[in-house]
Amino acid sequence: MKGFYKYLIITILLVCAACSSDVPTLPAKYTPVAERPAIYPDYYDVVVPCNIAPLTFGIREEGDDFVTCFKVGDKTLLCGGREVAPAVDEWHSFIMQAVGETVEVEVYSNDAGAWKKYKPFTIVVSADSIDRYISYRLIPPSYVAYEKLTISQRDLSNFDETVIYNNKFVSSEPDGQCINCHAYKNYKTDNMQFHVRQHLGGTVFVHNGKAKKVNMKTDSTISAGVYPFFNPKYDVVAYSVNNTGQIFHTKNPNKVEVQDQASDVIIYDPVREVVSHVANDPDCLEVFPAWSPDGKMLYYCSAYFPKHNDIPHVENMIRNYKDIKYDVLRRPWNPETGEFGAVDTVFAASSLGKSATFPRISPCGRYLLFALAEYGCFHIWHKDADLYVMDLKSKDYFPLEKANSEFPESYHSWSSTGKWILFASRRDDTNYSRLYIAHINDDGTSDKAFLLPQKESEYYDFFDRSYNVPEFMVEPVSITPHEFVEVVKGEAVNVKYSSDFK
Amino acid sequence: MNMGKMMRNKVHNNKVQGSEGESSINIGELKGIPSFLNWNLFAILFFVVVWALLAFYEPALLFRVNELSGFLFDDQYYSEMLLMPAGILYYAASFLVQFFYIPVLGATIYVALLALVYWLTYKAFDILPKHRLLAMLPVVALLVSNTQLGYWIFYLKIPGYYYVALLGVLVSLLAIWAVKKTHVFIRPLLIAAWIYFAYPCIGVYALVSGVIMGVHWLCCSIGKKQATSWIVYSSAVMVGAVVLACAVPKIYYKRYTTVPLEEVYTVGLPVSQWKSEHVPNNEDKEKVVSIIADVNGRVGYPAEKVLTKFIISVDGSFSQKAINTAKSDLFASVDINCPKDGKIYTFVFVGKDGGEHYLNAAGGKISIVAKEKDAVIPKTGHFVCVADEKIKELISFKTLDGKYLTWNKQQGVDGEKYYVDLVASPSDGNSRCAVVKMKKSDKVCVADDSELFGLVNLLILNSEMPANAAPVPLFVAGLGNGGPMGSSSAVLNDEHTSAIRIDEVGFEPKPLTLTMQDRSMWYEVKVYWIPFFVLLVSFVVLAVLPLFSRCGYTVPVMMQNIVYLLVALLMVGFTYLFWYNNENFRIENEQNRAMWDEDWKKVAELAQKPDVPTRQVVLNKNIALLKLGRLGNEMFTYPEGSADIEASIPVRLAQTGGKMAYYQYGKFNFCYRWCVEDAVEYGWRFEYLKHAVRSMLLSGEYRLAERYINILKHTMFYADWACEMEKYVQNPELIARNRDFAIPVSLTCYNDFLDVDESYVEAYLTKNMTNATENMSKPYVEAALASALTRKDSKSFWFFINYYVNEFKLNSLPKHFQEAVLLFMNVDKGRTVQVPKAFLDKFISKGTNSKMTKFMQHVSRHKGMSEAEMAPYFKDDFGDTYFYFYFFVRNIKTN
Repeated sequence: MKGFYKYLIITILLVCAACSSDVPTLPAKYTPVAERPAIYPDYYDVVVPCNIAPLTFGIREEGDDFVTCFKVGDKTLLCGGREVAPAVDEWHSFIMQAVGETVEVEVYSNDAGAWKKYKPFTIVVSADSIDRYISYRLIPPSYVAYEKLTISQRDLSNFDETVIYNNKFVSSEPDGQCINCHAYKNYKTDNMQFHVRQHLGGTVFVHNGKAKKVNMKTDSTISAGVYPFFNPKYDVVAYSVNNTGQIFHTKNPNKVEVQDQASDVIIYDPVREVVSHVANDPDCLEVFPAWSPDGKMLYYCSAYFPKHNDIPHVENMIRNYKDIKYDVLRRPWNPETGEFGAVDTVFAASSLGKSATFPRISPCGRYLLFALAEYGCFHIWHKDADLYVMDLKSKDYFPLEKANSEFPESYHSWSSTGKWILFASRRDDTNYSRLYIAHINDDGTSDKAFLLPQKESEYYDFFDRSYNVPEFMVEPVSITPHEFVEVVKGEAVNVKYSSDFK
Repeated sequence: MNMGKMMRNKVHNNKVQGSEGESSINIGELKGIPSFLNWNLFAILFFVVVWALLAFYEPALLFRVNELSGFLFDDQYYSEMLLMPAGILYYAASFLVQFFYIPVLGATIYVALLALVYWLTYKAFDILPKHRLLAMLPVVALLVSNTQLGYWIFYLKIPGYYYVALLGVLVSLLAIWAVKKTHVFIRPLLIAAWIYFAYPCIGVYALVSGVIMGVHWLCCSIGKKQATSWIVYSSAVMVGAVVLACAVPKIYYKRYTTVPLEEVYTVGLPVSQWKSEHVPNNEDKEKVVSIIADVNGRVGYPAEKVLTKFIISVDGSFSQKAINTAKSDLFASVDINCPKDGKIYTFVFVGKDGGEHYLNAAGGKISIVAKEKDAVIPKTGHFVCVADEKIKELISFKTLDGKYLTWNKQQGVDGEKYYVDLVASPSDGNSRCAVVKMKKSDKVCVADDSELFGLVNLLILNSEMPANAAPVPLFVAGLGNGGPMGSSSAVLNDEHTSAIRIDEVGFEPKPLTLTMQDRSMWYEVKVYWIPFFVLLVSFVVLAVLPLFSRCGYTVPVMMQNIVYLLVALLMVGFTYLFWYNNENFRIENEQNRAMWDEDWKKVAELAQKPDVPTRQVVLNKNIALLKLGRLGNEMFTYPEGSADIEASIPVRLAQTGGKMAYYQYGKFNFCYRWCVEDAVEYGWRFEYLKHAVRSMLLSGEYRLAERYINILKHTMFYADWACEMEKYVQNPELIARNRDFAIPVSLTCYNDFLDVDESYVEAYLTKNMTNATENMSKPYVEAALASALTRKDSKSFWFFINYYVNEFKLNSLPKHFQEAVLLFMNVDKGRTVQVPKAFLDKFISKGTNSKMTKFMQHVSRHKGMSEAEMAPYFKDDFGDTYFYFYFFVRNIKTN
């Protein structure tokens, strides 16, 4: 018994010692250094929302010890060690005091007893808050094979990530299931959808909070619905229908070319379970529909690539892959009659020798955000792909220079306020796409993009999946993964094709 | 004092009183040896032998098992593992597999843990010394669950497979033993707690061991003849354990998002690995048979045994994925139904609208005539097959009045066009045809069905040898998504035609019979479950063993000895039977190890061993010879051929050694692609990470290489290698100075273009080498020449040999290239290639000339024999020449 109490006391003391944290202090003496410290991720001079999770970063300098001081006015937040990871609550308390201000970040390092202070960098805390949630698909950057796929959601104010759906629920060795193309109506989750492919395939469609499985393939359409876009105001969804193939570069670092061998745009009515064509020119490849905020204009991309008499179409596309260039078009839509008006070319990228994809209209309706590269439609695999903004009033367009990099950027989306964009970029290691957030100014330009923060700075170094199709949400998905599984395993509603949508 | 106790006392006295009353020596209890060896001698011997076999006979296998595994000292890796039930088990198992990097060390740890299983088994179940051999049952089962794998090591999806079952059993035994020591009143709580808390850690092993605890306790109660109340109590605990084992997984199902409901009871077992039955059930079989039954025997379609294999290799569920895989394998087969000499055929063109037209030769003129529904084609639409005497693939067709069909070429403003005509002799024009298996990438007109692929081309040739002509696809017949169909070729350019059939007149599809012949036990997927079944049975037997102490029956000593020996022999026999022992498999692994060590001489030496090598062995050998500068002189001095791979799954070079081959041949993108694809399926293995580093390093993608270097720096045995590679990232100019990188880099003298390998590495490499035509390095040209020789492609050979001698100002040619010059000249007979005498004088040695002369003399001495009959007579004298390879090494099937 004596021995027991002795060990108990020792244990308690050890636990207390472990719990007591070292409070870092700023060194009194130090040598200033002209350079900024090497850190990862790169959070130099970024603009962040006031409700973002802590910007954890790692200091990649030589040294035995480090102290980092976030300073705004007379308020400071100190962190010790190579890993600069403020606690979530502390960070939020600090950052709420810095709204609209510029936080100065000072990094001190101790090398063999001698302290030095690096040139400070800044973080601007915007008064514009950001939608609290995002969702994305996590998928390895493979080409043909797939195994573990999830659609996950993340709380941007902290590091919580939960699974919306995981294909491992129903996927097995002989019966694989792919999942993709999650989308939401107006940033809310009571109307949303995602596709499941191959095993138990169909579209999981949540309509006014009720989930169902829909089989969107008809004899009149190329495929089931692929890239979706909910009409923000009306109860319809635009989809592309695609026949997609891919082929590999033998030497080019782009590695793969993904091509739509055929694609059209359709519209789906989830109440009447009807689909109709919007754009299905046999000589064109129409894809990537996107509605305007008022729901009365449908934007999409189209590439003119007619079939050749003597050469099989697929072979022709492969031979001339650099000639496939997409423009951004639009058609007005009358919600009363269901009819579409004449086609209007918004951005003739092909005339500039370029290809524009993934059009997204800002919530205010003024700006068109798209990805631009030399050719093709799958820009996330094109090194030269960058984000561009077009002012729909003046028709001026420009690259988001502070958001872009020398590596692909794509899969962009606007926040509900239009003040932030979220996009995928391969700039970190050229292969795995990571999510970046950038602030959009009133003139449509952007500030420097910052990497989605994680609890550990080295998280992305070991994370073996890419982030795909990020979307903002104002609320989390409430349907549980297990409930989605039951829907996936259930019977699908078959849609009907109608040539007349009204 | 019960009978059991009496028996134990008697054993303890070191003698057993036999039923006859005389003293007898029990085999497990020998005099004159240390006491700890009593009853353990067999086990000790077994462990020593197994250790020696693993450490010294299978070191390459162990090393490969480690390379095909992965483990990181990183929180994220650990967290990812915990997302699955049994994640901790996988984590610990993956950690231990690493030690196979040093095979002796890994084998020692492995065998030590097996020994621990043995010891814990007899401790946990209180096994009497004379029954101690039974404690070897789970050991043997665990061992053979690994040694049976063979090529499955490339396709395992459970992380740390080699240790998963062992650790699961080990921890379970500890728990069984610990629970047994506790007071009976808290024992039920412990059993319940064990099942509930251990399930997320070790999965199915927690469930089974929990039930075993209950069963064993009940059997002990009965065996010890305890009071009825105790028996009822222990029965209730057993029932409770079973109920919990059923309920707990379902409770946890709600907490995990990574496991289907159907698999919650089998987490920790390789269920998804060997889920499907190898032989389909009747309903599924009929479904597939009905799809392809009417092509059985039809010209151009797979031969029946290939169709049978197709059905067999499509697993029980017949999912699209499985069918696609099986179709790819079917496509790889070269065994197709050919037109037969003397039989009569019609040519029928099937339109997109389903209407049929037939080829007609009335009045000496060719036409295509619409076939009326159900109408019989007149005699003018019949053509007799005339097969070549010597070359079975070479055929002609003639009308019933003796005119030969020919496909003549006409040069028009739109390019070449072909038209059908009649000639008097088969050697006029291009009438000779060959039935050749079509490549997937060959042109087809109709692309409606993206699943369509062709199985046969009927080629137009202008010489006797199939490889010598510019092949022009006349038509294809294929197996489409919706059933048997075909498509027209661009040559005929008939946009209305979707299929052309050669039908034998009077053709009736034969009923398809499924016969499983000549298949080893390794083809049966369910065989792989046997060790796990034995494992389960052994624990059930051990759990109920106490029941038998109640019966009081004493076995005579002699009988005990016999049973002991029999059981020991059975265990040895079981181990031997389930130890995958394939020479080619062993050589491939040894070559792989040597390739990573850059020991190319060893790689080549290993290729001398098999009588018939697999294509992996040949591919590795050729890489080694290229590296050593001996390819042109020696590549055909090694055994050649394509040995069948003994495995129950299609084994692809892409998974076994294809990445290494792509890397060594400078196809860095393709190497990387397969690293990523296989990482998706099987997880990031050390081997994939290393290939990714090297391929991205040499293709100049330093940031990407650095990512994988950084990952490898967090491993136990690859950190140093990663640091070594990091030097090249930081100083790329050092790459040019590294001798090991020289050949792969020198083989990158090709332009970028879009391509697919259809998952066939060797076929792609040998075909692809001919794509570069200028600015080629010497190693590239040598590799291209070797590819041309392997494919017996004289056209490519002439192009590259010309480049080789002129570009590099050579004064001599390697031996096999000389042989090829003479051989192709002999075959061509000056029709397409004129080789200057000066060239022959300079580059063809007297020895090669003499060899060729002798070869031709040998041929004429064996005239009238088929190649298969002639081959043995040529092997000794000419087996190390290209002559032999060209004529006698046929039907090479690559994977």
